[in-house]
Amino acid sequence: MLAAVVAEKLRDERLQAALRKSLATVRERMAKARERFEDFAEARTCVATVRQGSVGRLRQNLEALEQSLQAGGTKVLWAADAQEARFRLAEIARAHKVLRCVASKTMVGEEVGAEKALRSAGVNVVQTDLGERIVQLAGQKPSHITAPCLHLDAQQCGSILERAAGMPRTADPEEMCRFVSRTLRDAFATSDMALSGANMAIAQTGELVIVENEGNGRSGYTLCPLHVVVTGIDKVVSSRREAAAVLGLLAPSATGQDVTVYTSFLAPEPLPGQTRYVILVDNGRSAVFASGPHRELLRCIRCGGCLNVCPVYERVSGHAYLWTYSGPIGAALAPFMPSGDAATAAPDLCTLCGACDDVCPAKIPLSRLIALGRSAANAARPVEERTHLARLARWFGRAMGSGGAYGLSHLGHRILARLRGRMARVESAVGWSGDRLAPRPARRLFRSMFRAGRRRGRLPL
Amino acid sequence: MRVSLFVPCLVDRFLPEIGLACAKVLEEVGCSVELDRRQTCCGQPPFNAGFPAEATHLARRMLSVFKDAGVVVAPSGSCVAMVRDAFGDLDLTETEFAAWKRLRERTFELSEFLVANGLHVRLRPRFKARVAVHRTCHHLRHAGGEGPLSEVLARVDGMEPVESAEARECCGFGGVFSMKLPELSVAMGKRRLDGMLALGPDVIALADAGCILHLRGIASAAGIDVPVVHYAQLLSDTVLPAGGRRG
Amino acid sequence: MTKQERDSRGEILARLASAFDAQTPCTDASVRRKEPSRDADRDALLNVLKGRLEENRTGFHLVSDRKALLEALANRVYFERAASVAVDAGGMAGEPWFLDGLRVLLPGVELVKAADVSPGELERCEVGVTAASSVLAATGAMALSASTAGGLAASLLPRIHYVVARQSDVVQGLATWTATASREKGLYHVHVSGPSRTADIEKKLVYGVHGPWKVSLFLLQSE
Repeated sequence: MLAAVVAEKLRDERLQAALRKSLATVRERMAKARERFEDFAEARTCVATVRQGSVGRLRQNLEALEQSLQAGGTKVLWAADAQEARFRLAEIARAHKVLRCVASKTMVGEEVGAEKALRSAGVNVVQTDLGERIVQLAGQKPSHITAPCLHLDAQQCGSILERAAGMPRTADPEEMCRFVSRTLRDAFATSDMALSGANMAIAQTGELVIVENEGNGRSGYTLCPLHVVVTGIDKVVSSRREAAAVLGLLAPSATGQDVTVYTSFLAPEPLPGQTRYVILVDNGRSAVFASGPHRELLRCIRCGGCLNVCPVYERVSGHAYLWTYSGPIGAALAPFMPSGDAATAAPDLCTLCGACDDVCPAKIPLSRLIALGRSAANAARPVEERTHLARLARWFGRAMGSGGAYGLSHLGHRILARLRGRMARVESAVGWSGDRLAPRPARRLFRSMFRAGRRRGRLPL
Repeated sequence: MRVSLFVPCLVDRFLPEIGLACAKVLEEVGCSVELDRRQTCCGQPPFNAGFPAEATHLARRMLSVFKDAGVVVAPSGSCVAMVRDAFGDLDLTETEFAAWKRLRERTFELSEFLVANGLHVRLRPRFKARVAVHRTCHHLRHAGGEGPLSEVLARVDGMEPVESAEARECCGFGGVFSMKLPELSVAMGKRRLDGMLALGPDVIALADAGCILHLRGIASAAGIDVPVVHYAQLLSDTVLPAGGRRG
Repeated sequence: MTKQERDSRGEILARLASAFDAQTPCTDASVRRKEPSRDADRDALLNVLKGRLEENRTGFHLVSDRKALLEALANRVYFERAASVAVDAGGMAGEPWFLDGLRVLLPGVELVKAADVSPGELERCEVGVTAASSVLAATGAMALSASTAGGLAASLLPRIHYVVARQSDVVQGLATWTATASREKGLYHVHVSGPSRTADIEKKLVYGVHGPWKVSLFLLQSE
């Protein structure tokens, strides 16, 4: 199933070109942004350390956050899973008789199906982030944490806007942007509710931190009488100080900017006349917390830097990971959160190259955790597949388990290689045929050649 | 210095010339090379595929085989990284854990071993060719390193090492990845290969056997006859580029 | 037992609570950018800031004194042919000399006190004026604050946004701001580093999406 999706992405020449171009740009900007730091490595260590400390204090931080938020008049709700989050959203919408909602970027909102929940409560939801709006109109899901329509080129964006929103034909990003801004201005003024995420929630002060470049998030929380924030329990940070450390690396890792255009610190007191809810979503995060080494994944600040540098992501794009989170962080989390097919598929979308490890601002050992997570992924595979793979692994273990078996398996391989028909089938089954020819087993094992050479007094070269 | 050769199973079974080149290099810098024939595999494939039990089984064997060895050297970034780093994630007993701690301190990738011990003095290979270098991921990041590889290549007279802008980008081999997602693996390999071929090389040099088999397989299928070799083969002067030039 | 009643539980919990800012191996300096340097003085900070503002496409006017500030602002308002200007009267922008001075220099222009109106009314203002309590040299971000929707909208709805600040409020970066920023109840902080933008389509930059299209900083040198 994964192979089919991947094949489709590889055949999509426009996608390949769009990804290559966009990611090359972003990587260049990221590199320039890194150079601005006195010691980028030390900056990463700082962020990793504060985040690790906070993750360790997750329970205390969440309790303190709840207190701080409530003290300011923000209502706090807890959602154990996606279903409950949807329930709470619909409940709020009905209680406040919401007809129209403007939504700004929220991965957690995507994760729990916020839009679906609101629509089921009769709410017209308008995505206001340009990339999210295009993706919404196309009936697609976002393909990157911070760049939702990275997988589309300008012409495709133009077609979508023309078809679904009646925009006069154009492939010029500026014209498209003007069109969407104009049509959304009215939405902000007439919406009952603004839905947003939060990049961080500061336990000590009860402040919600929201970063953006467009201003649609600000528009939502400033202009709407009801502001609902969905965020993961891993987003809580201890203090403004920790928030500042994270903010220092967030934009440089996400887009290569020094800082986003807007960074909002929302006081826990809703604006006069406004009501605010914060829905704290678990949906598997507490399981990740309890998962031993994988707890480190909760340090993630959702910058998308790992996606930007991943050579696999660059070829298949976000949708291939089969759930909300893609790239290395998506591959690492998938076996430990409710991710559907991604639990077994996403971890395979990785060569363990380590490019992500080099850039993660929170120094999460992503490639190591992806490799470790593969055993959990195997446990989640359908029985037949699981049994088949386990059998192969056991066979390998036995073939390599003793000197005798080792030699014998090589002999067997050489004999099989002579049976071209059969060997060709095996090669095809493991994907070494066609555009990549399988190697032939050496006539003699290196160790035999070495021993023979030793006897002769010199190495055969 | 006595060196116990750690032979990657891919070298043993598919690319023995790399093992021979590595042994030759070590002898030429004055080491006496031993090969413990009890060794089999470090367990990287099953570990990579998410079967830690099988990986642990093989790791145990490795720890036992190399228990009394002195310095252990392998011409492979990924195998050395497996031993030095990933073994720590396996379900080892306390005794095995202690054995691992001791082994990881004396296990090295070839280029880092040479550089760390200043072992270039007697080695003066000559190889007149333009060589496109691809820095394999584990070698670049975990065992070997940017500096050591550049340094050993710099010592080869007459050689012109060149790197494309994406010299540090994964070639797409990825171990079991090459079998799980072959189409993607090959697509990534083709892109790397094209990047290097654009430099007009006589030879392409890498630091890991798996990546060599992968790129060689793609090159062969496309009828490209630029040799894809291990850098040890350049150091030991055992490669003939397609054009047959040899200084 | 001790003679006095001791609220040990309270003490312990308070100590743990204050541990939010506890020592970590890293310091704020660890996330430091090369510029401005550690020992940067007023002029050095200003130099770095100027560079960042230019990169961020934020206009910059260095004015010598209050009179020059008001004149510079008024000139820009006339140049932009603005009929209506929203002012968030907080910080410097709320000081009598500022508001009164501006009113005198802009006789034909409507000056709307942002906090007093509903945000929607600010749509018709071509220009919004707000004060920044700090300006962060390292990134060019201007720290604004407001506690009303109108106050926040003054820097959001008008197409043109002018920020006024004192040169003495130019600080190193975010770490400094974090250490000193107000925690007043109900006070929202927004750091603005330039005009609204997006690069969602093919990573091509477009300005003025859901926020001001033009942003300028007026920095008062004498204070």
